[in-house]
Amino acid sequence: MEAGLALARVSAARPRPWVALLFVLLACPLTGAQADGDEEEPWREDPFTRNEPAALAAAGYERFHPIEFGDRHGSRDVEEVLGDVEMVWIETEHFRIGSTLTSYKVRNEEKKRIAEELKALAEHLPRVKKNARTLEPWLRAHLYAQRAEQAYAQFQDMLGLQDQDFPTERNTVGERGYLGEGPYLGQPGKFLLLLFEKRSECGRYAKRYTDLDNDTGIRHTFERQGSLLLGLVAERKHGKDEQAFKSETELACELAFNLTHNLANGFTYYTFSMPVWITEGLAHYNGRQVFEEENNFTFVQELGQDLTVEWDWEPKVHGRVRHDFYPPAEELLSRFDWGTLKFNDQVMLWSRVDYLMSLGPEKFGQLIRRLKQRETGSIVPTPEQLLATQAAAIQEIYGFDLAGFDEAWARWVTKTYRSK
Amino acid sequence: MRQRTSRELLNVSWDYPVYVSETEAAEVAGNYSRARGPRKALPVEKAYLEITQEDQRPLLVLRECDACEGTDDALLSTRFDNEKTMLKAQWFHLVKLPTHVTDDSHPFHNLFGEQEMPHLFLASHDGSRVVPLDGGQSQTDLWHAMDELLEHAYLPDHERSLKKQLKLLDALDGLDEEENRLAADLDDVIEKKGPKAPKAKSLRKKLERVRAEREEALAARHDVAALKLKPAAD
Repeated sequence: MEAGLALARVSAARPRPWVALLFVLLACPLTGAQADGDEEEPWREDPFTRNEPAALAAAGYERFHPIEFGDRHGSRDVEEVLGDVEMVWIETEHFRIGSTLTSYKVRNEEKKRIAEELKALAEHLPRVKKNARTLEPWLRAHLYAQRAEQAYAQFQDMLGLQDQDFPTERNTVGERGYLGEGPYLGQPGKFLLLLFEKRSECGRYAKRYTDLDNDTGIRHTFERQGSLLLGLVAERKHGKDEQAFKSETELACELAFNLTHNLANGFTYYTFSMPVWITEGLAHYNGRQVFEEENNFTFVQELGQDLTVEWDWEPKVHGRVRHDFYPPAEELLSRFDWGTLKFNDQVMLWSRVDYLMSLGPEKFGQLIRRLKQRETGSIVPTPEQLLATQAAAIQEIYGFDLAGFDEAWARWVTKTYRSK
Repeated sequence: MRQRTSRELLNVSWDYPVYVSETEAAEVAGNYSRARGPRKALPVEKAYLEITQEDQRPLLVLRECDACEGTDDALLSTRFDNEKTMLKAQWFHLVKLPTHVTDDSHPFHNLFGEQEMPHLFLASHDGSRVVPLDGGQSQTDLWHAMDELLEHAYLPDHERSLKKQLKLLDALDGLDEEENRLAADLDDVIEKKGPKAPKAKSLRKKLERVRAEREEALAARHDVAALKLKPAAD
């Protein structure tokens, strides 16, 4: 895997209600069966639903191609920019997904995990074979749609919220207070996911539709429609010296890690960033739930070291806690600058979140809600205000101050983690 | 095998230009939408301007094809060491275009000439000097073509820079290996014996020294690699 994969940070968006309304009016959805040129474009037909509206609905899908995607571009535009490529498009309840991923042969070591995912998928898509060893482009797209929706549901559950809690219109404050500017965790537009087989495809998309110059992955916000995009790439950066393409497991871990960032940032509409430990720590926690040996980092200082070697983080944290050698919460939890993060800081971020999640995901959800709480979208808290809110919220939710957090966490680590 | 820093430095960094028509640019600026005309190939001079965006470096333009499946096989050898190619490539503006540039309506189609389309070509930034290649060329032929364009565009001497860079990459590999080992040892000592253990102190010192040397080697490599472009002829 690309241990140091540093996906571009999401830039802040500003509310522009009239633009989003215009965009909604311009959108003209069609079902896949209505897509133009189906006869000449056989890859448009999904073998698992056969593009039948009832099958799409049963799978929780809204439509296939054509789909309005990011600001001022739809699925057909993307295909053209990428090189008139054959893409699979799926719009789910909360995501718009485009994929150029090709067929993939499941590796022995991931067979069991993927079989479980296929089994879950088959409940909604009966034509899926639970023991499939080759994942065709459509099947891969279905798997990513399932993973994305599961991550969304898990995040929303953690927050103790449901779809109907979020506003359907901008500038609305509901019974549960201000929850953003739209129905998708507070974002007006659905979350976007692009899965690129090749780096060049990512590079072209980024160049054309974002201000980023990156062919290894992207996180970006489309201000006009209020959508957060995640783009992942299967092709490795250094393909000549190792396997040219990432495994399905590596990509699934990248998805879990980076989607966590987008969901957390998007909650109540993305206009400011929380302290890095919240998003990066939770992203590690979720990524390692998929497979703990594949770790991703938004940023790490030590470029010279091969961090992929270090995946067994429990004994590292245990040893450091035993010798009272770790950054205290007062300092670690106050960082907003990604550039300060070293590898061992990243490990500590994960462990702090690991501990808090052991006390109940709903409590961590409450903490995020407190940090994102404001009266209207135009209020952007300063870092100092956020840190004050954070300290008060930790005291209120967990019953300890930051020094108490250190003590409680250290006790838990000593008791819970392996020492070697 | 090359270590991480060298691998990063040897990474072939592509540009992926996408043509945005005046209509599309006006839409974004004016915040409106209107029907777009059919795709049309740009005149070759305009295509060069679009691709280079005032970048004066010589160009290496590669078109993807279905057979290559996204790899750089048309440029990099599958049989021989590619380091010299990668190092020479750093002085080019590397452009990768999609497969459908073969369509005669693609905006950048005319870059590839009117005859049989080459798989890649090297060119001066304005297209006044072009060396087409079929993708199956020998490494020697590729280097010869690259040297020709480099000598035309830059002040001497890229060959000397290349030799020095190779030595610096070897040095960086050694430093990376040492840093990895020391950092792992330091972690181990801290986690087993504590941060105040005598060995931790000496390891920290060594690690600091290696990191400083690495920074120096990186700066030296940067200076060595910085060739000067020849002044533009009047």
